[in-house]
Amino acid sequence: MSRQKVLELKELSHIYVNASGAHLAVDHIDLTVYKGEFISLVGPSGCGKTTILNMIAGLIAPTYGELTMLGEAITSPSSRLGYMQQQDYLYPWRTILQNVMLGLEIRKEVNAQSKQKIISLLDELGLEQSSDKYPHQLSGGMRQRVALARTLITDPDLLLLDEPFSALDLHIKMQLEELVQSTLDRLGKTAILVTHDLAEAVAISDRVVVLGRNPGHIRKIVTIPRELRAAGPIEARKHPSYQACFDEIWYELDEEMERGVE
Amino acid sequence: MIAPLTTLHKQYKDRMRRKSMLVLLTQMILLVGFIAIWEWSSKARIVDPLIFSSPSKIANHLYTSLLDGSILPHIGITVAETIAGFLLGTLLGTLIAALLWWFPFVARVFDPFLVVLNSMPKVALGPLLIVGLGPGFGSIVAITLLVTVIITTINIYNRFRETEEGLLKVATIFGATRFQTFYYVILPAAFPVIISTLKVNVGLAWIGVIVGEFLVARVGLGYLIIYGFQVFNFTLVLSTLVVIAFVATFMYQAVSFLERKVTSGWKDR
Repeated sequence: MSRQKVLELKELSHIYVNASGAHLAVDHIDLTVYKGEFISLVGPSGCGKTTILNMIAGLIAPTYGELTMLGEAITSPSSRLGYMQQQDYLYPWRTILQNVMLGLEIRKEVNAQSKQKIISLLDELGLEQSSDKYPHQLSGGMRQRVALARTLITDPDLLLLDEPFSALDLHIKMQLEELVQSTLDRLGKTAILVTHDLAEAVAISDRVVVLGRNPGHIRKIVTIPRELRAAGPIEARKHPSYQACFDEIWYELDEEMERGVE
Repeated sequence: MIAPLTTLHKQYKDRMRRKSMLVLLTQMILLVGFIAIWEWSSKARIVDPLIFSSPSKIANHLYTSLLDGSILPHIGITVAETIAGFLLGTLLGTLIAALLWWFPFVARVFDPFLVVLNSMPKVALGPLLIVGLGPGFGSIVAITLLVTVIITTINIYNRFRETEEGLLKVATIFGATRFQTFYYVILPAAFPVIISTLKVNVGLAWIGVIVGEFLVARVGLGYLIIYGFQVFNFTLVLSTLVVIAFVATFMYQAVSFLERKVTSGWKDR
């Protein structure tokens, strides 16, 4: 059985042009992401992670190459895509319920049925007590959960996660990783995570894409063993095969850093 | 042994209350002292009672003019002009700021003109407006508008532009149109600034109204000051100032109250 391709990047390149010149940020990225996969992008700063994510999100256009999602070229933000940022960016003037509703309001999809959906989603994510509170009344971890709910409410096929766990304390961070992974698995969503944290990348992903810099390119794609992925982010960190995977990626990045020094 | 928590808390509250009482008491002493010395030096002719009047004369004048209602139309018209001025100024300024945000090209073109207009003393244009609009309510509100609208535009437009990138990105990813981005993000994010501009504009509007009334009015608190000055009735001038102090403070407090009401739910990060 062939797996469904959710996202295809073919020779994807991007050049930034500004007053100080033109600069090749991302060079010939080839990557195919299948339905239900959890992919992580890791690499040193300047490797074009954010550029790649912004191209997939339809926020910036590739200079060369092809970019298709579910067979359609991406030219503007797709309704089948969700995006979580490093900070929650909840709107402080809206209650939690109203924050989660935002996407539906913008798409004019608010009705009795979708309201019911919000309530059950808040329930699933353990936010039912908070729906009438304002963001400043919640902790960082809870707020990032609300951001997850806001992203999921429009039912995207592909989620882009731009370091959404990086600002949290370790304990909360691992809980949220667990919640995100299990929720996405249950709903059959596909995800691309950008992270600085190698441990996180190994613990949560199916495949880890190691990027090099100047210009951004793919150095290596590491497939994480099935048993590690099945264990969930917290248990995976204790698994016997975890360290080998971590070391492999660590070594790749080390090489990349050495290359940068020369 | 450590005293129970409730006792410590009570002691703390008592200390704080004593401090506040002390501040209030000092304020009272200063105010009463000032009025007493003023009264006494006026009676003793240490200062010229013709120019400095005296608290008793002012109080007497205020009492009679309130009782016979002769000051009420003046208060009414000035308050109306001020409210019209700061509301219109804030509204129009916000509207222009929205247009500048919508058309970045226009914003770039008008930037230097706004800077020049902002550094100008707007009341200097008063005579032009009076000639153009004729003396009266309209031209006074127009002067007030001129005083408030430029700074409002600049403040609110800057706030629009400084809206956090991350907040905008959330809406963009959901496919928000330019109008939706404005409606759902830019405008509500700027709300605290709009309200605080409203507060600043209360003060500015008073300047515009009083100067406008100096120039043309036949009614209003500014007119009373100028009239009192012309007939050398400084009791009238000073009692009008007292009225202005009270009404302006009340207006400012009312807008502050509104501010607390409107933004009570949420706090900025």
